[in-house]
Amino acid sequence: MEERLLKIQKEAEEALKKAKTLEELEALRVKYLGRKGPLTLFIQKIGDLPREERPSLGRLANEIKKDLSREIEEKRGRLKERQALPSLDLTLPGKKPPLGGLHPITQVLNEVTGIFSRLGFRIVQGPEIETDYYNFEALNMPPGHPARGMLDTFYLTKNTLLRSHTSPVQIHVMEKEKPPIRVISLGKVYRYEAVDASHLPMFHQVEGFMVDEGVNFSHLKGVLEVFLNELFGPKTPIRFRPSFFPYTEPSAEVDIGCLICKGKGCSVCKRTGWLEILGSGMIDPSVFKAVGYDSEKYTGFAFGVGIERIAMLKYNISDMRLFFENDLRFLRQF
Amino acid sequence: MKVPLSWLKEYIDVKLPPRELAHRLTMAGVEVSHIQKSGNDTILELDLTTNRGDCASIIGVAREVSALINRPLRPPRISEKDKKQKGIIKVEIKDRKGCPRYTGRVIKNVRIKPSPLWLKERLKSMGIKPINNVVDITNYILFETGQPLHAFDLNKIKEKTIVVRRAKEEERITTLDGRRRILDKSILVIADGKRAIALAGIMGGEATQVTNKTKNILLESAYFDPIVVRRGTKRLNLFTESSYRFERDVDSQGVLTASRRARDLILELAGGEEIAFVDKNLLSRKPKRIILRKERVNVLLGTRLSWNQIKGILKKLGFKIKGRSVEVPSYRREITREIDLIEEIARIHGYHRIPSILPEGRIASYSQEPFEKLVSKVRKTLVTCGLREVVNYGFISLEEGKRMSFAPREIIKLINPLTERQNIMRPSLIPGLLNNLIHNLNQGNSIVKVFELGRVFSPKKEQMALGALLSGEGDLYDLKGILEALCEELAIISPRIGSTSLPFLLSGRGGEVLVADKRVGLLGEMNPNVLSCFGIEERALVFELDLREFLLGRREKRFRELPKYPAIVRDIALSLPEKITSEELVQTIYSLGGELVEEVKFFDLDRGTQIPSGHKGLAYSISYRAENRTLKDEEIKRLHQRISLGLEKRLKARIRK
Repeated sequence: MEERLLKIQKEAEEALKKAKTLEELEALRVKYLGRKGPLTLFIQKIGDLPREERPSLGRLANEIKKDLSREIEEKRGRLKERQALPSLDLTLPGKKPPLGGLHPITQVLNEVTGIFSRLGFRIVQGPEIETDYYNFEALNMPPGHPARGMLDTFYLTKNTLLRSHTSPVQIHVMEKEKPPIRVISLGKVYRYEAVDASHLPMFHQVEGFMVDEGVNFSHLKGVLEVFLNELFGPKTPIRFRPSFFPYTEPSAEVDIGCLICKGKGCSVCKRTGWLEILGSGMIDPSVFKAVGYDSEKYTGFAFGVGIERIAMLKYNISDMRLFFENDLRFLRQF
Repeated sequence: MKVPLSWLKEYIDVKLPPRELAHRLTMAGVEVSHIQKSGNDTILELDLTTNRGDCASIIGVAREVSALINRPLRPPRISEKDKKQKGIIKVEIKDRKGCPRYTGRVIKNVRIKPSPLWLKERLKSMGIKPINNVVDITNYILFETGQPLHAFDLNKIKEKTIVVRRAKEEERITTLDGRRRILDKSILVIADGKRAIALAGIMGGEATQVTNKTKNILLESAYFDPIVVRRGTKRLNLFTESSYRFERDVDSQGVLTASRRARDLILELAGGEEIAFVDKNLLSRKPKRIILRKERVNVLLGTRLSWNQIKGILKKLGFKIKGRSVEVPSYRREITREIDLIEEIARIHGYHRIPSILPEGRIASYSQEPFEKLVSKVRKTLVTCGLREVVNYGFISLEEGKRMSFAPREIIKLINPLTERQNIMRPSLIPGLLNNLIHNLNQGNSIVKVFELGRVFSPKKEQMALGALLSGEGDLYDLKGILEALCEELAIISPRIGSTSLPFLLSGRGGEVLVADKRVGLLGEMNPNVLSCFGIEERALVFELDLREFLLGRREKRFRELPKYPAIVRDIALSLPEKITSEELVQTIYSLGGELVEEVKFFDLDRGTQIPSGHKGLAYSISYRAENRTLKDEEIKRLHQRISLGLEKRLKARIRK
């Protein structure tokens, strides 16, 4: 008898799951709970059962009846609610979850390092506090060298300083490793410079270098062209022109066609149509000498690029100071 | 460096339009930064790199143009005779390193008067004020040849003696600009028998200057050491057209040529008679020779240049070639090695003609440092938590350090700070974050949730720190939640907050962050007194971690089989004495419940009126699960009951219904 009741319950619950409309639900209610439904009939006929079974079976039948009618009512409620949903004014604004975001400098750094990662370069970090040796001397700038004047420096002691470029990382890496080497390094650099819209005492640089047998100037050009085309778009004009850095020879300054005026000449490019974007060159033999490499066997190239400048060009920002004010209204735009 | 085209054309026949000429120069490494019209003339403004002192003159630029357009140079005609009469002036060089060559020329009975118009105009176009014919000629020759000259009034030179020596300590001189200067031993001077009369290579002295009354002059043309001159200009903070050229190295042979050229002009424009010439020359007269290998040129540049092409380029630049030996002209003293010659070849050949190729070859060790990957994951997680990244300067002020009560011995000071506001290296990211808070509050951004990843400094080490700040929204549990989310994402053992008090945190509301019992940072509410010192009235919550230490608490992520059997969840709400921590309570539940307790999850803290004073109300969901079977309601009912009773007994808790 009990099994019959449980079977009815199971059947009813399965039917309940399948009911999709209010009509189907009502038909179901009538079928199982109506006056001619199996449960009602069972309770009516309970007197036919042996006396000792009557109380427990009666209780069970009533419980099943109660549960089922509650479940039907709940489902009815849900179905009704869904059908009666009012229309909404969808011109009202949505509820935005609070968004975080990366600093624009980090975003540009990520983009730059991403490009070089795909070219097989790996990231190495160097210290911001350096010694005179790593920042200058090993990079072919002995005391009194004129190029030291271009890199006005903050000193902490007579011999320790805040690195004025990321190039010391070249020395650290080559002192520890043998070629082949493809490395990029990134981070803060410091210059003793008065603050204005395009000069700050601190900014970010990415340094890259590659050393192996047979690395030549055409490889320098190839890698940097891929980099600049990925960063600024495939049709960006690029030119390499001779320049001077103590730690590279030959040295090249790399310009891209002005992004603002498309080469016609404007105030951003000082009417030249070109924007100076990075410094590069073949690593000077004196640098190899400082790290104990045979410059007859190994050659290499190196380059350095200022991240703020790229970010300013990419996003059309005219005042560099905005980067470190960290105004949320500024940061939210990237 | 300004180059008026009319002047340039005196020495080279150049017909290119100015823009084209500027482009050719720029692409050969002599950058033209501006083209400027001036009357009928056009002036090119050059931005010279420090290695190209040879281009700091009109003739120097003409020489470069001559190589670029393949036309001969037309140097001015100069008379080559010198009057070598002795006894009129004595020259003594005491610092041979500072001054390896000094020439003095005596011209008698000159007539000092204003220069002719053409000369005045030339100087004006270079931005120089005309003074009188003799002084103007020395300036003119400086621009024409790149060799700075100086004319002394001979009659004012004591004992008719020139001594080139280092200044004495505290020696004084009044320079041509009318300023009194106090010298020291680092500075090279020209002295007469008694006193310093000029700063060598930088500026002449007032006492011996050429005036309208001058009759006889001594014309100086010398070679001063670049490093000595540079030290002097830096020391005195005095930069002149003369020092600019000596710092970049002048042509050792040009010393004599320029002196002769000036003499010719003086005799022409001021009259007079040359009566004596002294030339003390310690410079090597042997030209530099370098062996050049064709293969090396092509290996380094990735080109296929023939020896003839290479020779052609070098010859145009004034190099002489014998076999593989290349002789460097005297005005290119910075060229000392084969690589320097290769650079010359590359820039005249044209960088644009060198092919662009992606390197192939051996794979360099490529795997990224695990730390770098983790750092980007940290950033990503914090951004997901709704925080904005900020970037601050690596330095802060000593004053801010004091407000935070950083120990003085932990502070690194800058010797030459730009401003008082940036005179120490930051020992912590928190002062920077507080400054970001102030800035944003002032701009009306009242909700500030930011983080920074950057180096912090102490005398012992420089390390990567992670800092975060919340203000205007959220409480300490929100901040702790962010830290916990970070740990979860990075698979770091869940952190505990210790109770050690820190001077800038509010006591009882913060402490050190411990991962596996190791101190990795701090978290808490900023002490309002410290905030007041920063001018902040709002509340601020912070954490700061030593990132490397923090990441050491990481475990490898491993997949765990999803449970096969369902869990049963029962809630428990209780009130218990304030001094009992949630941590203690949870531990007790685990120990009472045994292995069937899968997770104890906090969901409510109640300090309502129903809770007796000195007590707090806490509520947790306990999830029970067995690995190998479905749990029965009955057994969990009993277990839950046992836990409740146990808590009442052990922790003096009261179960709330």
